[in-house]
Amino acid sequence: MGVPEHVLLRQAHSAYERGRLRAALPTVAVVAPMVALSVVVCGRAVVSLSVGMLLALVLGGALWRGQALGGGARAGLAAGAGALLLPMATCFHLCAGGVCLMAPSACIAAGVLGGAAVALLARRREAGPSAASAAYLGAAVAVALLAGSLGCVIAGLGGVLGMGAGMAVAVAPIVWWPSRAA
Amino acid sequence: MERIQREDLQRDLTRLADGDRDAFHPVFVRLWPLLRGFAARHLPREEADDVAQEALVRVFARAAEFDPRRDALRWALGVAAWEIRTSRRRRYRRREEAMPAALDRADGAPGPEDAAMEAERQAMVDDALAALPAADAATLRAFLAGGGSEVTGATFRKRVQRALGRVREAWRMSHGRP
Repeated sequence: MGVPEHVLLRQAHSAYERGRLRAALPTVAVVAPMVALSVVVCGRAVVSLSVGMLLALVLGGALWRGQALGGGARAGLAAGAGALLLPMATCFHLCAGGVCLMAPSACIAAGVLGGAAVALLARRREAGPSAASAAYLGAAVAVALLAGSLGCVIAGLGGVLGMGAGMAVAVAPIVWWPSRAA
Repeated sequence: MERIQREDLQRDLTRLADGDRDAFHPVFVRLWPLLRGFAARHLPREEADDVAQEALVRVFARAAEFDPRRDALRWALGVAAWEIRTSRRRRYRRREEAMPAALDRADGAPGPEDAAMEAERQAMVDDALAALPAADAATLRAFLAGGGSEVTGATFRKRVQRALGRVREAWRMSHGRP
């Protein structure tokens, strides 16, 4: 004999939430090779692992919640992957000479590029400011910042801050522009 | 299910797949009676409710994977059909395990379980034939008897193919599988 309907409703609800978590896992798993790359290239295992764990939590949480947060997190991951690779690529080049002078500027450039990418995506998604577009942009920026930080760990705290500043500089005018025009 | 209800289910399941929790209750309310009826058509009454509940929970567990380009109703019924098949397999396995060794026939002739399944299968075939137009049913009966009807050769083969197509369709509609 089946369970009463209110129990069934509860079971269905928890199954749905578990299902959403399970569906988020393959995307969250992408963080593992990013962290591994960061650990190998940057040589700061503790920082890379901490940032990676935070990134996995934020990404997993946003994907689990879904809607604008989930969409923003996916966009942020794509933009952040680019921001992760750029500082590493420049550092590889200069580290051959024993110096990593280009890394901090590469972090700022990666932040500007990543920020511009997520802001353009957010603007294309929805015209004008709204709670949904704010959630989308917030999730996208947070994930892109954390993903990019995995690459900027190589330049230390200055590199991470530089990337954050670059991202803010790129995001603000793009997001601000349509609301002013409207 | 009417077209409008079907469109509503499509819209609500799409919202649910995107993570909109407000769509949870509408989907639940639409799917529960549907899956219950679907299971009741394919399983004994004492089993149908349990299987419908398992199917419903499974639908919600997989709701995040739902692709909005697919038909929501078909998708949900597909999940339910899988649960029904699993339940049937479980039931047959239980019966096989519970069957005392004494009932095994030494002469290799069909046992009571086989005979019952054969009778059930025959009844399903008879039902499907009864649902066909008389000409199609006569063609298939003649085909099963190993001979032709008033026509032979290519015309008979064509009629058999056409009748088989219709019986497949009727079978799919009433039993949910080809």
